[in-house]
Amino acid sequence: MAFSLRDALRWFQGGEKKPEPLFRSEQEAYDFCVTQYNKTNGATEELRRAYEFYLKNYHDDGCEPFLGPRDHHDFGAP
Amino acid sequence: MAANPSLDLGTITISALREEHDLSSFCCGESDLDKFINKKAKKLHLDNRIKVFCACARDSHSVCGLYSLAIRHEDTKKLLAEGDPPLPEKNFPALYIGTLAVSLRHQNQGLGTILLINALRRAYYISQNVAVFGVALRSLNDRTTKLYEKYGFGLREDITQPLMVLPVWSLNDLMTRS
Repeated sequence: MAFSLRDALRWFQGGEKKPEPLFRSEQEAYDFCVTQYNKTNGATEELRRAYEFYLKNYHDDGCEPFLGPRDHHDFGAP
Repeated sequence: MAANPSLDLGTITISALREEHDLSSFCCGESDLDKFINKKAKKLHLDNRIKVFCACARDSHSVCGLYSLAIRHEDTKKLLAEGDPPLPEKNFPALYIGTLAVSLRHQNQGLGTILLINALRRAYYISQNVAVFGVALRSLNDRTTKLYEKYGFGLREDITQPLMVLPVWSLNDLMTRS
């Protein structure tokens, strides 16, 4: 393992080693998602059942994209 | 999945957080999550760091449940602490569902499912316009991890509150073939 001055300084200060990223590269993240998609063969039956439950019980979806100004933006600029 | 008659899901509306929504007394029973929702969620929404969506009974501002969406993951524990380390998901372009929570008195009535699918519907429309690999979240406990696995989320790490990912192609499959 390569020596890292930053990790050494963290250690001297009593801190823990900097956490490793969950995905070392974008390619690794992409491959993880492709593998998972192939593993489940797309949307699972359980997810489809949840979606059917949603469509049956919730009638006010409002998730479709709307490109005009929204009147529910009640908060002003920070 | 039987709905308890005390919560009529047909009367629920889910909308972006508004001024009149009161989150200061929201309680889902998970103390870290409650602390985050009570103290931080509205400010982060206002700062445009996350988008919070609230479920309320029609004509009411009482929040029964909520979730947030962001491009970058916000760890609720880190948000409450000083000196955050860099977030570890930096190589992973995804939409993050954060703080999906249902208030204690509305739990086990199907609202969590409604909120999750509502979040996935929004994520789907975003993914049609912005390139992402998937929809990610952090699972609270073993029970939710098993549930999300059944929904097709992949487990990335074997730790407390692991990152779980639903590939964007599974999401497309759900929305176009259901």
